[in-house]
Amino acid sequence: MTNRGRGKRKGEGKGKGNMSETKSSSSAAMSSCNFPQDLIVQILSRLPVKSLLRFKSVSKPWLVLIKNPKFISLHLNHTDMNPKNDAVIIHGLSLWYDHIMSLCNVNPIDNKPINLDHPFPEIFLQMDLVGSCNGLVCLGCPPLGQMIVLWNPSTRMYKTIRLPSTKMDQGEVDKVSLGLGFDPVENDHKIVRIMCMRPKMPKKIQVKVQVYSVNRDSWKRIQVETPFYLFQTRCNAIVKGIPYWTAFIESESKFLEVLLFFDTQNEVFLQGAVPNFPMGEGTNARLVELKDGLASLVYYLSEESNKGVCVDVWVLDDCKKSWSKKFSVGPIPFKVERLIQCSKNGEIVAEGTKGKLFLYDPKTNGIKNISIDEVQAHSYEAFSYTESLVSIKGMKQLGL
Amino acid sequence: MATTTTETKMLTLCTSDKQQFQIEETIALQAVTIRNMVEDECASNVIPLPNVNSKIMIQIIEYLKKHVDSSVSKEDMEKFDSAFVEKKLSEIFDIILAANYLNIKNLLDICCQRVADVMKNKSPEWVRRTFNIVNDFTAEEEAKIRKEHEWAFEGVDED
Repeated sequence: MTNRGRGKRKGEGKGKGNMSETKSSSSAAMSSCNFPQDLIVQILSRLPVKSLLRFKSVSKPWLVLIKNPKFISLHLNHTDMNPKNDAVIIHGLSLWYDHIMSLCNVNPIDNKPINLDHPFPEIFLQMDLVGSCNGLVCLGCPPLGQMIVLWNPSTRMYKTIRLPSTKMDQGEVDKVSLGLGFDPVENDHKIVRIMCMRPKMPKKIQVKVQVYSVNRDSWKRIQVETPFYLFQTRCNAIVKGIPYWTAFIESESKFLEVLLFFDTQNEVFLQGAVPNFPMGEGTNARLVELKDGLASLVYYLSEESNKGVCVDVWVLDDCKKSWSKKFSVGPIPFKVERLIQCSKNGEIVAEGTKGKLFLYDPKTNGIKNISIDEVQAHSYEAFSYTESLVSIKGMKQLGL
Repeated sequence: MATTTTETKMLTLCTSDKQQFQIEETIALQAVTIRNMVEDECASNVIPLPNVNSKIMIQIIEYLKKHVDSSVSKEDMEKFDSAFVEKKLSEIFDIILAANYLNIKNLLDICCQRVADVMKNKSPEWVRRTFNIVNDFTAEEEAKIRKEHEWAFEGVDED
């Protein structure tokens, strides 16, 4: 593989733009200057994860640098800010009930999803893609959250999270909902595990919440002031490390819809404004992360018949007090059954008929087929994803 | 052609090889190092830039002239930037050193990104040659590290 005796190969670089540079490399590329370390850091922090893993074997100083937590944060920062790094991670159930995980780079360069080896045990028939945050992906087993895995698909490292003891003082657990978050102050990833108790009238709804801290590698019970009920087994969206749910609280013996989010620093649930846009018949909505904010894609069949589905994009303001309609897109030029997700740059992942998966670019009105072979219709879930070197204590290499 | 010579303030930059460049102050001040020199009034008529040679200075001025022009659309600026970094790596390295010294953040960013784009599919051997790095691993150590991420060596360009 390695080509020694470079002198002979000089000038052989036809057709490849980079070869002319290779020629001049050892003597001329770096001139006579000693390249300062901080500039090396600037260059390396702009590389894909795969390249960095390969360059760990360049030298000992490079190995130390690439493992350094400060470098890992800087790299994540650069990757996140670069609009060319726009990807979604997709989960689908195969016809044989295998869980298929794929990565789709939204960039036009390659838009065929790549199937990934994933660490979720085959014995669990059900799996939720709970969400992704800082390059870590959380997988959980619904409906009771009896299996939780944190996984970095880019480094192929994972950790099975030890479950908390689930001694409930009373009542039956109806459902467990999981959320993933990040506390930037402590630089700590957290998993929120919400146990919703089966509401038995006239008993009030009850909820129990445990939070797992990656740094502490332990669970802790937290108190919830206003109990709530969830219908979904995972958070609806994660924005800047904060997981969001639409939930129901009891108010004067009625159920009231609220928007809940988990303050990862103070470990409390807070309420934001409920989306209050008109939801006519045939209108659906989906909470997503859009450009570092919480958005709702509200979609409905366009009034002019057969024109397809239109989407209104509503955005929650920073104080989380009110929603406003930012823009509308569509009609989307294919038959949409449901909207699944949107990417960092605002491309929409949608499912069409017969389990076809599409990427729709509202700017160009273009569509790309990103269907994954042999995946059951209606089984798709997707999350926007930024690759990173982020690793947590106790992670193991997949397949080793 | 009555050129309206509204007092455009000019600055003279003197490179390491004693070449002098007269450019408009607004163009030069995009370089934070030059701005600081002017603001601290340690710059008289001629600003010495002992770390930049004339060959690199010409390219940096080309970049600064484009970026001072507020009429250029974001799209056109991106096009200019991506064409600007289509140079030999050796030149990019020199521009990085100069942009770092002159403190021109965006120029530093696009040049570092360019190097990253060129090297992302290269082998560790290529990287060592290009950056003049001595392999300080023993053969066993290197083999062990490579084995940990064997798949990261798939699809690597031939040297």
